[in-house]
Amino acid sequence: MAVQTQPVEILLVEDNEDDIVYFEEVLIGSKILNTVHVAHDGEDAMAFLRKEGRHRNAPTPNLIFLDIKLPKKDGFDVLREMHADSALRQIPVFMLTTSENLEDEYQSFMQGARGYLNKPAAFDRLFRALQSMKIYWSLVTIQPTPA
Amino acid sequence: MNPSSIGVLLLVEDNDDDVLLIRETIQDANFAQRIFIVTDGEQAMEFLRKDGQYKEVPVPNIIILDIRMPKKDGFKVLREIKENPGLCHIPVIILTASDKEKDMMKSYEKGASSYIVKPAEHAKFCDMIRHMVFYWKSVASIPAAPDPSA
Repeated sequence: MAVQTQPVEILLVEDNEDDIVYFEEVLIGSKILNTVHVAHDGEDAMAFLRKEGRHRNAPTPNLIFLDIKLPKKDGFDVLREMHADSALRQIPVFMLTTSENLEDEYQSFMQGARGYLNKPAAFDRLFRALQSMKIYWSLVTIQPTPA
Repeated sequence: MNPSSIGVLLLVEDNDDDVLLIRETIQDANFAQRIFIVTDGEQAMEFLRKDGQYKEVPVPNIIILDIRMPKKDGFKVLREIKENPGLCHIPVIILTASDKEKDMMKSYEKGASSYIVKPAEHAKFCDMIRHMVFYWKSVASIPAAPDPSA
């Protein structure tokens, strides 16, 4: 079984500043996962993934947390564009949401998201959720190595 | 959606020992309210399309799918699931003995949600199933079965 030993590059696509700080604190502070890059809207996310403009030296992320409701281009548009791009469709995407919207859950899986996470409101719950995710993702499943 | 379990699980696996082990572990962990088991790819598609003897079965909330199986392999089943608008929302976990990179890539390419290689060691296999159960039960949301009256 392939065990993840390289630093994990994460792209967080989120427009809410409080949620960004909250996620970064959990992801970086807990040392659960390694490097967090932030894109603030859907267009910025696609520019990061295509290494355009200010993102020309951006790494290919190992994992993407993608908010659904975003300015300019929403999470589903990003997911669709990624899926249509053979260089991007292998990157695991987890949709983030604060609502339990069944239609959003369906759409996420139908469009190829690997998972759908309701953002836990409590810090310790998010910590535990990401810890479980890390174990599952790096020690239980195997994943493509980014190009 | 009941937060204590994921509802209906379909296990597609032809190896009797693996079926026993997976079923016991997921039952112990109260992963699913109902577990259905089919032993080849054709049966899996009959179940999912509610053909013949499967007329009354529910739509599963999650599918655990082996790759190497008689009649129709896991890749064909996965492709048919993901091409079917009534089924493509269901997360599919590939659970296989194959640790080949090309099988893993092909599975994700066709829309698998996870790819898990079965360890040979019994204790390790049980541990992996427990982690999988915990993740899908407690961390990731799974779409509920569609309302047939809708």
